Amino acid sequence: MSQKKILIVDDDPSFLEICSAILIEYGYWVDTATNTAEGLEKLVSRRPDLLILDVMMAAMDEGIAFATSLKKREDVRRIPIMIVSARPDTEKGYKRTIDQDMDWLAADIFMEKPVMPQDLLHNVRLLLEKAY
Amino acid sequence: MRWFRNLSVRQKIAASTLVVIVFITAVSWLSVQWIVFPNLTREIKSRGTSISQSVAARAQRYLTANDHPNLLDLIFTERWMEPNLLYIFVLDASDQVVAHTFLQPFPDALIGVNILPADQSRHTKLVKTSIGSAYDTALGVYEGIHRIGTIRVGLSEASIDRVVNPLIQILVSLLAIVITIAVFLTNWFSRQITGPITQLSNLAGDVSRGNFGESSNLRALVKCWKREGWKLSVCPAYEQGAPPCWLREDVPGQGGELESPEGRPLKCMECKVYQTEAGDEIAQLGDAFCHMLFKLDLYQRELRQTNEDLRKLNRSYMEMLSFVTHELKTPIANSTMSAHSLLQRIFGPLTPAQERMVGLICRNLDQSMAMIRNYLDLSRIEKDELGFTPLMLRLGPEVVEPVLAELSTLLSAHGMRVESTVGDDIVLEADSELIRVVYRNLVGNGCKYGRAGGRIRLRAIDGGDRYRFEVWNEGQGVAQEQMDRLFQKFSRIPEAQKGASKGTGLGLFICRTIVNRHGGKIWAEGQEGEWMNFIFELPKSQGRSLVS
Repeated sequence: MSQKKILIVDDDPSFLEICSAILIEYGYWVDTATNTAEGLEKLVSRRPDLLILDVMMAAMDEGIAFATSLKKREDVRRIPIMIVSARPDTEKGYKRTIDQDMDWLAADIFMEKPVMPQDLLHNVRLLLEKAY
Repeated sequence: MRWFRNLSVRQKIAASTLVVIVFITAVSWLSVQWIVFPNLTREIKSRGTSISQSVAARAQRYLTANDHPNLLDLIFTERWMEPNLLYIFVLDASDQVVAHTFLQPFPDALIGVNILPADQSRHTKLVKTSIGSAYDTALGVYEGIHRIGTIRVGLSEASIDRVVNPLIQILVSLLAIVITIAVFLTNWFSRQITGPITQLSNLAGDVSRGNFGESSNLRALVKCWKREGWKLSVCPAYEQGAPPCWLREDVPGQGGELESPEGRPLKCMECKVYQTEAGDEIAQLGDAFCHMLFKLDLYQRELRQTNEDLRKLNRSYMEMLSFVTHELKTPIANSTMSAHSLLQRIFGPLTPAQERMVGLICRNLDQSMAMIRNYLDLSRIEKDELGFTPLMLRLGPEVVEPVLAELSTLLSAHGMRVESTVGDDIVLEADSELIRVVYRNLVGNGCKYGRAGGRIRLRAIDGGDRYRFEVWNEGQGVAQEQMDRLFQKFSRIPEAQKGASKGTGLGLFICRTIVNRHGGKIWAEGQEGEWMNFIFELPKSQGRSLVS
């Protein structure tokens, strides 16, 4: 089985570093981006198997808006997305709840920071298995 | 006397006055009955006696001479001269009728009803005859010491009534007039007394509804100095530019001192502003009420302003709290993730000492994380930004299991055993994220304050239209009188703190807010030194249609 590629988009370098270190330790190929523009570029050029995305970056719900735009693009639509957020979903300033969004973000998983390493790995494996 | 207490003041005054009038009337009536009428009757009866004596004096010689025609003439003349007489008749020594004024046959029975005893010369008795009731006076006629006959004179009883009845009629009419006038006067007086009281009472009602300045009752009640124009010029403080007492909270009152801008003390000894207007006690009460009202209005406005300032201050404090905790959350979340990855040996094995230290770091970071969550929840509650999105959820897999997984490090650090009977079948409409906060706090508390190595038991009981949830733990518990304090903001119970790590004192306050938001209630039960049980009830549905 080829090495799975994971792209992490978050404006917090510490989170990128910790998350990458854990995933690399488990044998994944990890790439990072600190904003959605860079993220989109890497997504298109490197075609990762999974996208880990922060909700709140430059704008309040930039991550959600980015995920929504990705689902409308034919080339990257099938890449599963894991959303991580520092705020609980009740306070993210987003009109719909994650539960409601699950209808159309079918493969996605929402995680609240701090993300426990074992939960991260469990969900990563879950999404990678589902995708293939 | 409850009915009397329930009467209005006006009715009480009217009733009391009427009772006094009726009492005086009754006493007057009784005195007329017992004193005036008997004397009147006695006077009339004595007239009957004097007629008898007059007849007896003249009849003596006719009786002695057996001159019956003249005797008859005498008694007829007397009878017709005095219309109040019913009859006169004369008996001889052997009580035989020798003359009488009856136009019909003489009623023989009349002789025996009032026989004059031998030892008496006069006797009066009320008798009934065929021509009406009469006061029958028997008077002996004597020649020397021998009684030679008896004169009997019947004074009509109706004649007394003819005198007394008009008197009674006049008396009753007078009393009726007096009572009627008294009723009107009482009504008028009581209205004069209670009118201002009623207005005061209405005014107090206006004040209780928060209507201070614009009450129409106020205008009608008294010439309030607020409306008549204050006598401001007479206030020494006002004149000299110092805040006068009606704009200060520390009112010096009569005889107090105010400080002028020049630092010179000003005496309020002869305060003319608060001078009470002339009038009776009620008018003065109204005047004092007006002064009080103005002060209350002033205080209320100050209070509103202070409240508004405090609200703004609290809001900016909450915004700062929210900002700081958000800022803290990111590095602490990253540290938690790193420390836990070390503890889970993702980056290789640890020596026992390293493992102990990393475990300590993890526990402290988890605790900091819990505190940050509480402060964030508090700021959301205080800013009224607590999102509430109830959806149908299965409590076991969606709330209880994730929370227990999340708290597994803490639970195992304290050696806690969790027994949960909350399964898949518990389905209710609630906000899963908020209910997770409740369970996180209650299980976390059970862990922190419960007996190390003890049990924590989670139960759900179906109660019809609502569920009852229990989070029970073995441990020190809390004294009964401190149970209610548990749910107050920033409350920390000293007994519960012994040997336990410090919390924010917010967890249970947040739980109560969340449970209340769901239309439920939360409380605590416990046995000090043995166990503690947190119980909350949630409705199964939030009152909207669940079909869709």
